[in-house]
Amino acid sequence: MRQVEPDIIDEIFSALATQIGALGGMPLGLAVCGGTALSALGLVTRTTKDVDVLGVVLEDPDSLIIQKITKFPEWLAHAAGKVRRDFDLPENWLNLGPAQQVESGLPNDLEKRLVSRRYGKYLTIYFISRIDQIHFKLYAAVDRNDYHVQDLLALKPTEKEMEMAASWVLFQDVSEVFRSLLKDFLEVHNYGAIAARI
Amino acid sequence: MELSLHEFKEKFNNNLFEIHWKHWTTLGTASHVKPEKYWIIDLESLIISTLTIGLNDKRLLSSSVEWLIKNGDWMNLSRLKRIVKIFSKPLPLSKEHLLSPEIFDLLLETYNKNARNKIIFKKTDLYLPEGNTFNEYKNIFYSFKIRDVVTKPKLQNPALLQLLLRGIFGIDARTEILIYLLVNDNGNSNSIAKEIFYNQKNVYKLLERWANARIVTKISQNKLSSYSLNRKKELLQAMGLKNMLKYLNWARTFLVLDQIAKAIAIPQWSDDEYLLSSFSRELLDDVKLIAKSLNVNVPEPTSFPGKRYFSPFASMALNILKKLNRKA
Repeated sequence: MRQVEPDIIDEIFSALATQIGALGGMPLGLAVCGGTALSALGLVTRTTKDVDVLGVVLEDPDSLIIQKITKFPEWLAHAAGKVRRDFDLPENWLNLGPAQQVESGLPNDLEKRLVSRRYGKYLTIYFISRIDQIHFKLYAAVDRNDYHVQDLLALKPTEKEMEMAASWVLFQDVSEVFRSLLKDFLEVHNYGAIAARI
Repeated sequence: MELSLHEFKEKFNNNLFEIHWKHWTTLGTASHVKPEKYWIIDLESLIISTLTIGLNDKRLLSSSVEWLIKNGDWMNLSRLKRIVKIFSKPLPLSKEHLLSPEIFDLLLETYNKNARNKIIFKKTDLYLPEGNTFNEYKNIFYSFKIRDVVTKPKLQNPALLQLLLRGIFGIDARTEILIYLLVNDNGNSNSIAKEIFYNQKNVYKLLERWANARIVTKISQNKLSSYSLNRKKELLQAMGLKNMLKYLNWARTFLVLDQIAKAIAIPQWSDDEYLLSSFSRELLDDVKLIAKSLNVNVPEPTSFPGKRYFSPFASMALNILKKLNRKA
């Protein structure tokens, strides 16, 4: 089984678009975060085992709206299955793992910062921006010592960016335990001044 | 060396049509192609396959129709309809059908207009052929004219064993059952019926009769009995056949090849190596069966992600055609 390598991300999305068309699907926009978005935007180049979809992106004349979905439409799941087979990808390579985040709250104006890439007639992928990655990665990294921490540090957040992210994650988990974990994390990673302020 | 899509299309179509011409030539159609000397020909599979791909070689289609009109008595209509059914399925990853039943109706209508014996059939209204395909077929069939390019088949030709046996037994399942038992050690009614496109009950009844007449030996294995043919050599000698040519399930073979031919002709697909690669992965189980019977290696799909599978698959498909086109 293969992972999603940085150099084939575009090829995989193009294939997905082709399959959507071939299988009678509809044009679609997906908001993507995680390792795929990091690699696609050249922020952190690494392989990932899946593509994390936040939700469906609806285009208004003046703005973008991310809509939470709990399940992919059948034609999209079918198309993703064909792509999985064609690229020997893991079972849930396209998943709605972070979809819950749409309901629990996204960083302010995340939609305005989405970076879109069009794949043929049927698919537009909206990658979340670097600053929003910092928000998500900090939230994921606080109580862990894994690739999320490496991703966050590789993004080299400025003090201002880290403070914005820290304020946001405190809204996601209001417990004292979490605040304490966050402070520890910031101190350990040389953001002690922010830890003192929150 | 990587094979370009353009190069593949050209070679694939040329080889596929050559096989068809070779078989029709053996059956008595005039052409410059040398007759078949390696494989036993299957008439019904050939008729349906020619109809399926005939738009790209109208002379071939027209010659086959003329052959049917003049020699249609050799054709087994119920087997033909069973084979039409398997060719009428939708093409993988597409809404198009490989062969729309309406097109088969056009063939029967043209046959009835020109042949002495008429075929009674109920017109299909299940599918609507997409685009102009149906109209193109209509034009060919409505303007069909006998060109006198067909003679009677020479039954002594070993490639026409099916017709020779039909000459002896009549037009029913006995011919195909006998061919099956001549080329296989044994078989049960299920496996035989599936392979030769007949009703299982019918095959079972005939095998039981032959067992009673000691033409076959019944080998009981649990519920389903197998049957093996007695005195094969003597039987072949009695029919004047020293050596049998090679058997191949032509219906399944043509089904796979015709699907590829159809896919590479779809305009939206014609330049899309990824879609064609994906399509070839859909056919893989059937392709493996054919490749195995021809000793052709199938490239491992997981070694060639995405569109990279196209080139090795295309080379393999050409290799299959080369083996099918081989001389004796």
